[in-house]
Amino acid sequence: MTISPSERDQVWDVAVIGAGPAGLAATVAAADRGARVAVIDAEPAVGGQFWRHPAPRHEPNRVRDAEIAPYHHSLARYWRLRDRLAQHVAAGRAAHLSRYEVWAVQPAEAGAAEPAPGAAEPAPGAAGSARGSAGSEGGAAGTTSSTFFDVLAIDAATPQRHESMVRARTLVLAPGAFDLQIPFPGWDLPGVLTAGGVQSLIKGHGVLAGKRVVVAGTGPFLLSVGAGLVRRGATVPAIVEAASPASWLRHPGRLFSATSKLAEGAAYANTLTRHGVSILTKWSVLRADGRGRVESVTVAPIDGTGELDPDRARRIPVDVLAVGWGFVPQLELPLALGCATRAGASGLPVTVVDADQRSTVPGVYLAGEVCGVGGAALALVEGEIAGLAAVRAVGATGPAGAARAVSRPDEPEIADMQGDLAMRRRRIRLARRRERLRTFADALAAVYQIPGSWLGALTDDTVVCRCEEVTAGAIREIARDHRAADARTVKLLARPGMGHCQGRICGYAAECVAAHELGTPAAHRPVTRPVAAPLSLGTLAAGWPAAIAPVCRHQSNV
Amino acid sequence: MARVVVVGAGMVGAACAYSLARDGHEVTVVDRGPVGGGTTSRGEGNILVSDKSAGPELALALRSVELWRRIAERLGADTLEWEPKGGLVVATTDETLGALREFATQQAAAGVSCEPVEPGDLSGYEPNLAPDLPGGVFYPGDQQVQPVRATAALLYAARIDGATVRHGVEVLGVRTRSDGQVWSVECRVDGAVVEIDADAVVNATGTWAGDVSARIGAPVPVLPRRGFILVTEPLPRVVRHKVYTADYVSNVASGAAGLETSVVVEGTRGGTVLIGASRERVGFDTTISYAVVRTMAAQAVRIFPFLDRVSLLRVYTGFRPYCPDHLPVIGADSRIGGVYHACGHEGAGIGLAPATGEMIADLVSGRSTFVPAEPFSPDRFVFEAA
Ligand SMILES: Cc1cc2nc3c(=O)[nH]c(=O)nc-3n(C[C@H](O)[C@H](O)[C@H](O)COP(=O)(O)OP(=O)(O)OC[C@H]3O[C@@H](n4cnc5c(N)ncnc54)[C@H](O)[C@@H]3O)c2cc1C
Ligand SMILES: Cc1cc2nc3c(=O)[nH]c(=O)nc-3n(C[C@H](O)[C@H](O)[C@H](O)COP(=O)(O)OP(=O)(O)OC[C@H]3O[C@@H](n4cnc5c(N)ncnc54)[C@H](O)[C@@H]3O)c2cc1C
Repeated sequence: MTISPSERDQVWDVAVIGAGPAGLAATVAAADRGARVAVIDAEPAVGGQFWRHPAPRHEPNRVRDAEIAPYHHSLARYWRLRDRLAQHVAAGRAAHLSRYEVWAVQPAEAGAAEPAPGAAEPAPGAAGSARGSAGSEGGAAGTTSSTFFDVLAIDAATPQRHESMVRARTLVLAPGAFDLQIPFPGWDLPGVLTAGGVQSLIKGHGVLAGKRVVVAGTGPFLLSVGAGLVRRGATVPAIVEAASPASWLRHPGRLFSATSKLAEGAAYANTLTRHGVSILTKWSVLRADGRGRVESVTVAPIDGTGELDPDRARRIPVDVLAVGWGFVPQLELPLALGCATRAGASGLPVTVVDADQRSTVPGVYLAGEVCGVGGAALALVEGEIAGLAAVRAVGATGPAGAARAVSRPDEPEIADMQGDLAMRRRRIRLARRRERLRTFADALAAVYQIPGSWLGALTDDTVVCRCEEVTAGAIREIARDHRAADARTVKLLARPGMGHCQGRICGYAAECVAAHELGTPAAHRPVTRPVAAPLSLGTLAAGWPAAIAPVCRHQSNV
Repeated sequence: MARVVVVGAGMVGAACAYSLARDGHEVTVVDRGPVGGGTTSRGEGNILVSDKSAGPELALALRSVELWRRIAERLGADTLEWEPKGGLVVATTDETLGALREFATQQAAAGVSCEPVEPGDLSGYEPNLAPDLPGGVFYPGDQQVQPVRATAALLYAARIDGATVRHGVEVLGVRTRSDGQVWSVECRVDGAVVEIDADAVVNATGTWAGDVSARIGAPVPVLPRRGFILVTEPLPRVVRHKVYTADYVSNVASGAAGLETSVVVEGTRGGTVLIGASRERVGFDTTISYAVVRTMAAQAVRIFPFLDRVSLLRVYTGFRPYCPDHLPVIGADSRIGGVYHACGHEGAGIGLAPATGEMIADLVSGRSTFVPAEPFSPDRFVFEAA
């Protein structure tokens, strides 16, 4: 199906979901090349998890920037991207829909084109954008063609949580990841937090979660959280790392190819040494205790058989315990569109992409942690590749994109990039950089495997699913009685993952517990969740929402 | 006693295995996936007499509600999450109320207990209903189970009676003796082809029964009919019975190809409220139609206005197995000796499972059936094709 000129006015060239490093880089890369881009993110400020920032209160907000700067990395790059996006928004080339929660994405659907009762009233408050009515696009009725996509989002800034729609020719999905959680006795006590959560409080708000914080789990991220805590004035009695540093030596070649990352790690290590923080390696959490709130954590070494050794356990008083086992890619939106997945380095599913960050669904590009957890530097590269590829796709099928060059691109190094040649060079450089960072990420993942020791430490009475209060014992019993080892069957029989979190928190652990009980490997198949953000039935019942039209309608006449 | 292979570990296969094992047959249940992983995990667990007009399906349903009661007594209501909560059918217009009352009168004559409910009495049944509904009918016989738990419980009981349950086993076909009688079932297990000796095979593969029956060499026509179910956030007990609009009654009996929605609203043990279910014939297309989902939400809010502010947690999709004449296929296939079908239950496979299992066990054991089996016979398609 082709789009008529009047319809084109309603359709963005690119919709980017997520404004973390990946989404931000994609947005700027695409807008720099003249595409009309809408970037949609649930947070008040761009930056995602890595560059989490408080809501912009006033312009310019460099004061706040300075306050939280000590806890951030590569901020110059952030400011450059953020300012560039602001210029594009001011020029009418892009829109930043902040505090919009995307609950569904789909190929444009016939029903969406029919005028719906109650949809006529446009929701107020989108960042300076003109809003068209979806009802005017009767031409799309009766087709299932996916030459464009509908992004359905809830405006969380309005108390009524209005729904809006963004219709775009291509999508870049960059929704990032969330903390992987693993249960242990006492993990549900107040004061036991995820490492990512503790980090977000510092980065986003300059707030310390506690005064005496043990950081435990696995991965270099623990060092960054520990360093942030001590710099902010907290006491960190120990960082408890389940992997052994000696295993670093097994992959020296891969490591030296990503020196800047190593330098970042070295800086954290320096800070920690200066503050006398001890790092226990091949140790892990046995349990947390406290009355009404965490008061101590008991940690133990992992012995030769891979189990925690309770005889050598140590009890450490804390007021907060920060635990980080890595990150879970947020796959709701890619899965809803039918994008293929594969098992990632941690065993959890990640999306499949090609050299251009193209998913297996035409018109859909993926970048950042959804393609495999690899950190912010990799997310930036993948985002830029995706943004450029999306523009090429749009340019190839219509006049809206590539023709309009922009005079001041994001970075000095690409200022000369007017012609094909420079563009090709840039793409080669990005491809190489992606390869290097990906190799580094894989090496890290190989070293920082989640050890199986937690399964032995998990007592039968420990709650695994907090929403439905399902214990490890209940899951083990179901697994034994019905030989159920896959997450879905365990959920249907014992209810873990049926509640509010829909298994986002407990799904990984519940499946590991069941599989371990039966002595089979956990499969960790991707779980489709067609509702990616909460919305009320009333909102749904109101019918199709109004579309947020591209801001620069007049430009097509220029 | 016969060696019986039941293909499919869904609700229907489990009920067949349960009855066959109680009869003392040597039962092996095989499924390529996990317990209840097919349509059984994709629907609701309504056990309804209220939506059926007089005829063979109603006879099967009436027998089933009785058997479900007995199963719950034997295995424990909690194990199945069985609740004999009754169904309240409400009309949204005076016109549908008239049709509903007439439908109920005919059902009463066929042995269904039902009580007309005046508008003023609706809130006595359901305090949260919209105040402007013209009236309804209450069916005390309607029940509910959690389908996957019920399936697992019946298989567990069958195992205690000697049955074997094997997962990861895909059925490829059957081998027959020279006299045309079943000899063994050919399966793929971990990439290897194996044979399981059998005197009888029960095809209980639901929506895939068309494919499996063809592999066996005794094809019956079973097709998919898509449905969506909406799940809300957990709430305190706000819906007491199964509550549905009278349009559902006409949808079930309808042969129209297009989309049909009418809501069934019910609370679950976990506190979530389920809103089902749309009916569409779109093949095996699993993409969510947000247009259909919106229509369902609007219908639910119409009868329960409080739902307006309630959050949607999840939407899921399933494919009901249906036959062209909207009756299940239950019985021996006259083309290959020892082949039985128990499939095509459409939107009522949970409800009709126990009576189906009983019927299969009666036929395999050579007894006369409790409910007349004739109308469900696979021969109706065999002679049609000939
Ligand atoms: C809590 C947390 C803290 C972290 N802190 C650090 C750190 O300090 N240092 C570090 O190196 N790495 C950190 N990470 C790892 C981090 O994932 C990567 O370093 C990096 O931020 C990945 O970039 P990204 O663009 O892929 O995703 P993200 O940065 O995660 O960005 C994704 C963005 O998409 C938005 N989004 C997702 N789904 C939707 C939706 N449905 N609707 C609207 N918006 C949506 C999110 O709000 C978010 O802003 C953290 C991860 C987490 C989960
Ligand atoms: C949205 C929706 C709502 C519904 N609501 C209700 C309701 O409220 N009440 C009600 O009674 N019914 C309801 N139903 C219908 C009900 O779910 C089905 O009728 C019932 O689950 C069918 O059960 P079954 O055992 O026949 O099939 P299934 O549960 O699908 O089992 C068939 C099994 O066969 C296996 N299989 C397939 N091919 C092979 C092979 N080659 N080898 C080995 N194994 C194979 C599959 O893996 C599967 O496990 C609903 C259905 C839907 C979709």
